[in-house]
Amino acid sequence: MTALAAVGLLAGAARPALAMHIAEGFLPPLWAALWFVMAIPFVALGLRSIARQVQASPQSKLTLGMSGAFAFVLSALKIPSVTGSCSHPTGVALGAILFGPTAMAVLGTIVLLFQAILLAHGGLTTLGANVFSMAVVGPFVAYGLFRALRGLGLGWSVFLAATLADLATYVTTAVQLALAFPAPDGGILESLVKFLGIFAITQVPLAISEGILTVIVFNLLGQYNREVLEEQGVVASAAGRAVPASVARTAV
Amino acid sequence: MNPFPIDAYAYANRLRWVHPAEKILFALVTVAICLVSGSPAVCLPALALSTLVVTRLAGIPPRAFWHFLRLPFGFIVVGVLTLAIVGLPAEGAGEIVGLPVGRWRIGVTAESLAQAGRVLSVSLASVGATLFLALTTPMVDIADQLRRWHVPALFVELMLLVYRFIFVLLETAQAMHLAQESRLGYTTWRRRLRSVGLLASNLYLRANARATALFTALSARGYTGELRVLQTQPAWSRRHLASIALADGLLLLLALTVHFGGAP
Repeated sequence: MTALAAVGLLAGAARPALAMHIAEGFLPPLWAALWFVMAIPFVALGLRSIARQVQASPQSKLTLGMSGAFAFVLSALKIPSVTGSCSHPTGVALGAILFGPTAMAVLGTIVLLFQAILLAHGGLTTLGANVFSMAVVGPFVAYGLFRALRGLGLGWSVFLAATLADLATYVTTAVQLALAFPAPDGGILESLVKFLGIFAITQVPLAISEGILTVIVFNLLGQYNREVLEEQGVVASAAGRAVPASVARTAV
Repeated sequence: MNPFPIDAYAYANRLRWVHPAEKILFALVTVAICLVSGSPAVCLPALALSTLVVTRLAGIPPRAFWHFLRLPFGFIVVGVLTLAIVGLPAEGAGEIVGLPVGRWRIGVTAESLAQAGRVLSVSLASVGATLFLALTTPMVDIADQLRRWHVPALFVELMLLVYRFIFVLLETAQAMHLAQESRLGYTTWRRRLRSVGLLASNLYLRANARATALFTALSARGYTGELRVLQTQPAWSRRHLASIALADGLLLLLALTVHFGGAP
């Protein structure tokens, strides 16, 4: 069964990981439908902004295709969690800051669709719910915080944006599960506490590691290829100011 | 070699040349019946149906199917256990096991166990039906079908670009990973995190450079913003449609019997 032996990087994807993708068939039909209805406007908005971008420069279609593939491959990497175990980064904040939250809604949808079909990770009926938490809430929180916290410097704004975006994604998923499965006695609130508690074990350490990782990535990009960040409007193009690499060095 | 075993089977199974719409229809209708009925008495036969179709008709080894079926187990098991354990009212009504935790009592009741069982069976049957689609239909066929169903062309085109580029970038990432690993890049926690950071940032730059190079190459060949490929469309088959109608019809009949007959 050589075909079953997943190669190198993907080894972790094949192992049962406590990821926050709601599995196929896990949500009752009405809730599954509701989250599709909630997610579709954002994806449509993203498609419109991408269409405008493509109209302005045909190259951006290829760049966005590469960006989507980058987001997929990123989520197949394994990062060491602060508790010592390994988990997969979501790449939500990195993508949102580099490509913008509206484009990320579309790219995230494609990535989640591929994870459902190529890796049996997530599902088609739960795609709406997963898109809403991972491709809408996560990126918008990340981008909003990144912009709002620019005063703290690149390092801290990136760290907080990435960590809190992961936490927002995890809370959204827990809310989605709690709404669909209220506890018989304690109702939605008890159910929410249960789901928040059980997934906190993996998601809180992951959020912190992902925050650190995202800072490292932005510092490296700033050091070796500042033009890329300037093009994407991540840093101001006034070339004089040094990238606060010191933040990352103290973090790692 | 294809890094995704599910994708590898999608190109090399006996149902490869069946019309993609037929396969999508079968998978979605089966999932819909399971979701709406929400009953193990419907979902377990549905899972058996998917298993039979995947192993007998598509010719995929049962062991492989079992392996793929277990991939989402991590989430399902944790989620189902969370559903099974509930806070108990003051004095045990129908509880099976109870445990005091501080001021509260948590435990398992017959009702919560039944709900956990229902969700487990629906989820497993749905994963089975989706796997049927994933294991028999390559992504390019699914994307082409979506285009025919008037999903926005831009979305489908991006899907196909991302699909193609995933393999390119994954190969690059694996080469980087191997180079880092052979230079002790993953020996300690700090090094691991830094190596992943280096890999991700380099991969991003490589992806950008690749996209630019690809654009240059395509422009030289007359690219104006649209990639057209020839897609062969298999013929619809009355026999397949009749079998799908029969199988899902029986499943629906079972669901209706369970619903109105009062079985679990």
